Amino acid sequence: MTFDLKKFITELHTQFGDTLHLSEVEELLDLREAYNKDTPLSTGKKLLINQITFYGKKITEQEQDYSGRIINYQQEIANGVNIWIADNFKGKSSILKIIKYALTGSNSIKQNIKKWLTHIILNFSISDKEFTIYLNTERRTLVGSLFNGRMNNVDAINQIENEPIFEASGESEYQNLIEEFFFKQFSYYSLRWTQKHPRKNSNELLEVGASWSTYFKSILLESKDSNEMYGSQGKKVFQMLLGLELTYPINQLSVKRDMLNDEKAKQNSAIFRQAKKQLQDKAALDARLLEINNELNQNKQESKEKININSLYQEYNLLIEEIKSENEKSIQLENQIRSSKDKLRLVDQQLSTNQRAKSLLQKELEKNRKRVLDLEEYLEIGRFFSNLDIKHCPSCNHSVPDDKKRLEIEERRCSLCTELIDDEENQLDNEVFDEKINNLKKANTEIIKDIRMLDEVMAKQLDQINAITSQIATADNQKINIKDTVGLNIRLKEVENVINSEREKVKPIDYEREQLIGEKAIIEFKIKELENTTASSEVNYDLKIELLTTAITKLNNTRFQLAEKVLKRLSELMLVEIHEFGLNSITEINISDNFDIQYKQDGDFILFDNIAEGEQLRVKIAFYLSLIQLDIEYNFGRHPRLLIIDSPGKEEGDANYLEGLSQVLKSINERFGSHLQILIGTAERRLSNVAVNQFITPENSYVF
Amino acid sequence: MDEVEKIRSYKDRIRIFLILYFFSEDFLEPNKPLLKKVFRSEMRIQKIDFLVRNPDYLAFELLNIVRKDELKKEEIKHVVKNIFQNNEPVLRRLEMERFFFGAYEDIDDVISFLKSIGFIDFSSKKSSDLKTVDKLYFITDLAVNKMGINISSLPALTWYVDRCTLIKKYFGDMSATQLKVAQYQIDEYRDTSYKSYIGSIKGLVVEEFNNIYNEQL
Repeated sequence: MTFDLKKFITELHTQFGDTLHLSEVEELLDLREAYNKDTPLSTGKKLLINQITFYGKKITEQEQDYSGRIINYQQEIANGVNIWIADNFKGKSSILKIIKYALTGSNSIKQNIKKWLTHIILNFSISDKEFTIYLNTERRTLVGSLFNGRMNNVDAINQIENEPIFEASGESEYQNLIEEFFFKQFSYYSLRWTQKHPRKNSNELLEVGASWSTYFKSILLESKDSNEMYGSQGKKVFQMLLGLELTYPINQLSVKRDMLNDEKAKQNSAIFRQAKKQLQDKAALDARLLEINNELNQNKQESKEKININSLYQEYNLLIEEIKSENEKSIQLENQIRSSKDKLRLVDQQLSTNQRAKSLLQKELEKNRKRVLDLEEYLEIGRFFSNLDIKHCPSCNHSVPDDKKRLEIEERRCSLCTELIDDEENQLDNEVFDEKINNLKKANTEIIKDIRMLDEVMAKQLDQINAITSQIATADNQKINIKDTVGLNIRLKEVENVINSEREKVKPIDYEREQLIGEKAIIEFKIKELENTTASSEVNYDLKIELLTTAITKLNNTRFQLAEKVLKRLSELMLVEIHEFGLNSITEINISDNFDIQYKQDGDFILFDNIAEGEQLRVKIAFYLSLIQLDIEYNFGRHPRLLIIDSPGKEEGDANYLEGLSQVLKSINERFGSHLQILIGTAERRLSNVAVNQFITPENSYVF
Repeated sequence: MDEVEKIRSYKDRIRIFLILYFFSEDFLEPNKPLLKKVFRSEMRIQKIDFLVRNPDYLAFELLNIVRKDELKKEEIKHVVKNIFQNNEPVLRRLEMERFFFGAYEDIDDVISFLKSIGFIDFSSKKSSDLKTVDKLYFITDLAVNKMGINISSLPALTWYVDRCTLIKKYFGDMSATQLKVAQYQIDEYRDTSYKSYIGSIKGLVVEEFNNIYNEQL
């Protein structure tokens, strides 16, 4: 499907045309390519773990039977279902958590066990391409790297020619880089939401996003979350796994709406609180104005004596003008600061992207320079040691006899080992190396150019940041300089009182009339001012938010229509799996437009939370298996086809369940063995002989 | 032998040879007229080699000298700055493994090669239990001549010559044991486990430099 953005904008503009300009509608809705970012068609990629290796030493504070034991664990892992069977607390969960640590950088390994580990190597492949993750955990700071190809041990990895795809220092850098890698591989991106700033006294609203670790919850099903369907950000995970069309723009517009709501609330709470209150008073003012007009009409008698209070009225009007203008200034400054901060955030982001790019280029440059040095040295060392005779055998110290030397000259055989000498190879080497040096130097010139360009761009960005920062500071200062309207209001009141007291000196009729005229002027002005201030801001926010809500609803409906077939297939698959697991009481499954999954049990539709605890894990496993089947059978969705299930038998005592689980696992192996991979850790020995690949640890023994 | 191994073996040959050449003393023995210089003990090769291969450690040890000898403060500042300005801790670094007695790498192949082309000779003194206790390396007439003719026309090797001269200036008088003790003062070196690579200490040097000179490296 190609989404017709122009048509969509036109439709909404027709609906909001009276109040919002076309450019405003466009600005709110135009997210560039975002509308066609999602596709439910599968990438066909699968993540397959080939081998897990880790080393270390069991160091304990108190003497244990395993103290000081060396850890040297290596296990090949195949397609299909793989089961580790061992007693509880013997290390199976740790293996699964080590795999998770390697794949995400997010550490949930028990603290003491983590301390034991010094090196972790994970070999995996995505489709047919092999990769190796190497985590060095010897020191306090993690060093994590990702390599192309398959390497099984630290020596192989440390070969000088192995250039990693990336090398990260520290967990958070590793998390970012590995996330970037997997996001790219599986076409994932970060779905966003907003949340309050964790600092209690802050009213900032933060935009945060789902990480690779969040999405990983759909791969590693831990026994501790078995009564949660898919984690607290689960709907985001579900949407990402399905890849339904329009998910990205819906998400983006929702975040935009949250932000607007927040801005509106802030404005309301500050400057506009007063204005809003006055708006409520407007009705009262209107009524009073009507009364005054009536009274003035009745009392048409001219005043005989004139008193000059015009100058006071003038001051009164001036004061009101001033209050109005100061208020306007303050609103204007607020808007200016807000838009400057937005700009600042954007430039900051661009700057850090460029900094990353620069550091990658610098690494490349260093690598090339090192290589040039190596090659140049090689050629010169060759020259330094050239034209030398072999004089002694280094082993026995005998001089090399003349006949052997002749052999070398005449037959090109080594005078020590008599093997043939390949002169051509050496000759070729030199030419090839010279060319390599030239190419590397050329490449370096290009890289340096690129770095300079980046430097220029970054210098500009820094200037921009400084300029914006000082703009913000100036605006902040100007805000301080805005006159205190409270003071002005006090003066206003004073003038009002003087006017009133002047009037009292006038004859009753005149006095009454003057008072009425004065009051009329005040009320008319107040009404006018109220109309001005309210029109400029609030209405606009509300309209924008309403527009976004309408747009989101429309997109949601379109998405649901487009996705109907996919969701229907998914629920059918789920139902079959759930029955396989022995949960025959669920007779129908329905997925709603906001991704709630409803299960019909005993005639009522219920949500996951309401399913009996003993049945939840089955439902959950069924859900993920169905997602994978959806990919395999119908080519929809983006699940990496890897499931890691920790202790699936722990809470569910039902004998049918265990029987059902082993049946399902057997059947998965038969039906999809080569298309997916499931890793299970369990203490349940009844699950032995279910899978072809099983790693059984004897009772009371440790897995590693 | 692939390209990387080949380059590596060539680099080892020149480095070890230059270390032997520059750190040896003159040798005069009427019945061995072809031997011109003598160098004592394999362990000393290893310790000096470590300084050649790890410019960051060299810089750190130079800064240690400043702590004891205020007079050298300015000249060492210049040296350390140069090392870092040329990015040597990255470009010239050749990692070394930690063995029982500190940094160590098998150099038998290199020594055999140098011996076979007649550049060096060696003799081992054995103790009563036949363990090698003192190995002497001799530089031959041929090698001394070759150095005189050849090395100045090879610009890519100048770095090694300059580096050996520099190390000799500051650490030439130290024995293998003294060098070892100095290297063991550094946490990163001491804490590296057996058969692991000794990591870089660039950050530490920058910090130390800042402490001493109140200036960013």
